[in-house]
Amino acid sequence: MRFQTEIFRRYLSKQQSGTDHTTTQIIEPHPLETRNMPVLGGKLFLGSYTLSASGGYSIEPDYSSTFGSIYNSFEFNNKLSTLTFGYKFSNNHIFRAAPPTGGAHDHGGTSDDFNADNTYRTYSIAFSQVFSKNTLAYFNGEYTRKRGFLSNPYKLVYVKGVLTAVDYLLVGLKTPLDNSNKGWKYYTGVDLVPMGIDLYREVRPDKRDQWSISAGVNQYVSALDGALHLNYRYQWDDWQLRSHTLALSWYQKLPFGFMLKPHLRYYSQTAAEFYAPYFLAPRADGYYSSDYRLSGFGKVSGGLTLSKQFAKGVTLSGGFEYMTQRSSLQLGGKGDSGFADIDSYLLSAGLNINLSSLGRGLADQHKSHKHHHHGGHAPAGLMNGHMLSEAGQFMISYNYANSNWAEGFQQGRRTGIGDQELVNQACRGAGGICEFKATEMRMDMHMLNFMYAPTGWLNLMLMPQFAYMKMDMASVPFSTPPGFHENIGLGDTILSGLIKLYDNGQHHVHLGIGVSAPTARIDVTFDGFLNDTSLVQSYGMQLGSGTWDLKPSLTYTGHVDQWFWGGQLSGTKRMQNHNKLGYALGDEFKGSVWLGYRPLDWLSFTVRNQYRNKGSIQGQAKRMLHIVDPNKQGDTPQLTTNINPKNYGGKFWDIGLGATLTVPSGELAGHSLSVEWLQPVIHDLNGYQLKRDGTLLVRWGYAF
Amino acid sequence: MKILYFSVFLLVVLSACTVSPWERGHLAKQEMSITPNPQQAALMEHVFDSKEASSGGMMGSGGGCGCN
Repeated sequence: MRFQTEIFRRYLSKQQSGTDHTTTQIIEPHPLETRNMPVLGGKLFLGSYTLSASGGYSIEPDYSSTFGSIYNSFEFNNKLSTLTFGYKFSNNHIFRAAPPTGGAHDHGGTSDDFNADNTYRTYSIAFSQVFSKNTLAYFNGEYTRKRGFLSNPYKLVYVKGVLTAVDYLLVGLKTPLDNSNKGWKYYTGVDLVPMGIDLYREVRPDKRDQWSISAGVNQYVSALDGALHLNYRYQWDDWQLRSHTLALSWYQKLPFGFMLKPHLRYYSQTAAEFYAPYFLAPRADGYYSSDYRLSGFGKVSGGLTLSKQFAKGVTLSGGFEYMTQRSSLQLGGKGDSGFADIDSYLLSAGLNINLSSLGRGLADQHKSHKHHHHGGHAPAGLMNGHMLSEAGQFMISYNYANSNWAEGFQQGRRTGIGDQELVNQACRGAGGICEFKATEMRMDMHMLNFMYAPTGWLNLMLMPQFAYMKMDMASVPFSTPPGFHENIGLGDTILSGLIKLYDNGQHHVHLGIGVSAPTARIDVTFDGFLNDTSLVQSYGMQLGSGTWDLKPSLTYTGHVDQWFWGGQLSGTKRMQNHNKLGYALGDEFKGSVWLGYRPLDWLSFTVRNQYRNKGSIQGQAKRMLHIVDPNKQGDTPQLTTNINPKNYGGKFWDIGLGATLTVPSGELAGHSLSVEWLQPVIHDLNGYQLKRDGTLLVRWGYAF
Repeated sequence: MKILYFSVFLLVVLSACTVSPWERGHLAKQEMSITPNPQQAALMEHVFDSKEASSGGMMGSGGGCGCN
């Protein structure tokens, strides 16, 4: 209601100051987008019939989607013709929530809670035909049925004449006196959601039927050892949008496994029937949008993609694309005077690993493959435990760690801490009493490790990381409903080198020197906005350290017959006193010893003893504490257990039990999968922290 | 009826296309598949779809080249 009165006040001041005539896009602020989208697919080949299916889900701060597809292909005419029927669906949920600590933090702004759904169904038929040994063509027809909420929740439209001054006056006068929260529609009879003076949320129809036809041809040019791809699409729908797309690509094979692909694309669309940059009178159908994507425009884009296929099914690619969108580039040139003119560029990078061709590649040259693991694989949770011994070797590994904290609070070694003690003691370092506590936390770390041996005594490693964290919070003592917040994104990136110090075939020592670059965000906020006024989430929920860190390690391994063992000292030293938010995570020291036994060629077990000492946080983060508004009655700093920098770090003694499976021969020869469970034995924690349950570590590795 | 005639005509024309299995070396190359780099194609499609009012319909729905 406060908001509605505010609109009335602004309406009056606008009437006094008059209107200006610059056309401006008006959108509500929306969170920074990070999309995480795992997809799983499979293909079944049954003679001339192929069934392929895939499914997945994607998460963004304000959008979630589950999707899937099924395609049936029939090859006939001596496998020169292929007919494909396809079905795709996606169920989408669009949402926006108040800050996730159970409504505890007031984030201001005009955004309200928002929840809506829609579904997309696509039916397609495609036909491809081989015309000659160098020519292939294909045709595709598609129908997409979209139902549900199809508007954009952030886009606003300017519509004159929907509400009169009298309406505004009426609402302005009535709402402060009325506690029933009946809203605009009750007073004005208008369906639109007002967001300002003559400013409303856009409204699109809740159904859209789209049809498209496309055709393409691939022509191989022997003289250049390259291929030309030409593709055209025409699309139309019941929103009166029509579009033409023409794309042209050239695939040029180059020496050393490189492929260069320059490409050009032209796109032109007409405007949707209910689109206008602004509306000077209400529309009879009640649909309005000023989203530039529904305007008439043309777009030219071009780019280059370079990919390099390494031996045995590993392909790295990088691309650049520049896009120029202009109203004047629309076919027929009827676009809206520069309203939708945009220039943008896109940088992309991709890594593709074909597991079966990796295995095949290895099987082919298995005899000459001298890679060995000094008797057995180091436990899954141990980083830098293994060196490539031959110049020119590559290794790719994927490491996953899952940790959970759920069993109540612990201080030092003391468990079973009561809420009253938390309230009084746990936030002392942050300057007050605790109003909220974490009840559960989950952390998933995904790390890729690219390893290369330029010489026998040196290995270079690049390790990008991805992190997911989720924390459940509750007020202490319980008064508001519990809530949670989560983060996902790129973590810090580690660059390191391993140097062989000693190796006699039985005993091996190497030194590791690594640097962790602060590529992760450390200013993830509760409301997802980048504003300086948005509160940042607690230290443990941020995706990285924010500082450049030094990561040295020293590793010894040895083996006799089926037994193998090792020891490692490693550490993390923060090379800066504070990051951009004014704090530094504690330094870390780790020591591990392990013993392994390999009863079978393809199976080994390890037991590991790990000690870890991690310091508490130095300094205090800016923008993590809620600033108390002296004019607001009952406003408090809203301290939580996890924003106290003293509640971090400690001494941790864990026992790790692990197993490794290796594939000694066959299609997948040389792959290894290691799993380790790290069980806490004694944890002596700094301050008050949640007790950790244990950590699951998984590593898949492959050297070639 | 016209459609039927056209289909029959198309089938006759297509069956006249003969490319023997040993002549399909170029067709089997990665750059001659309908989507040589599905990962990048999916990314580009997502980028274009999110900036334009049209979507889908470009990828030939995974039809193969019939050369394996």
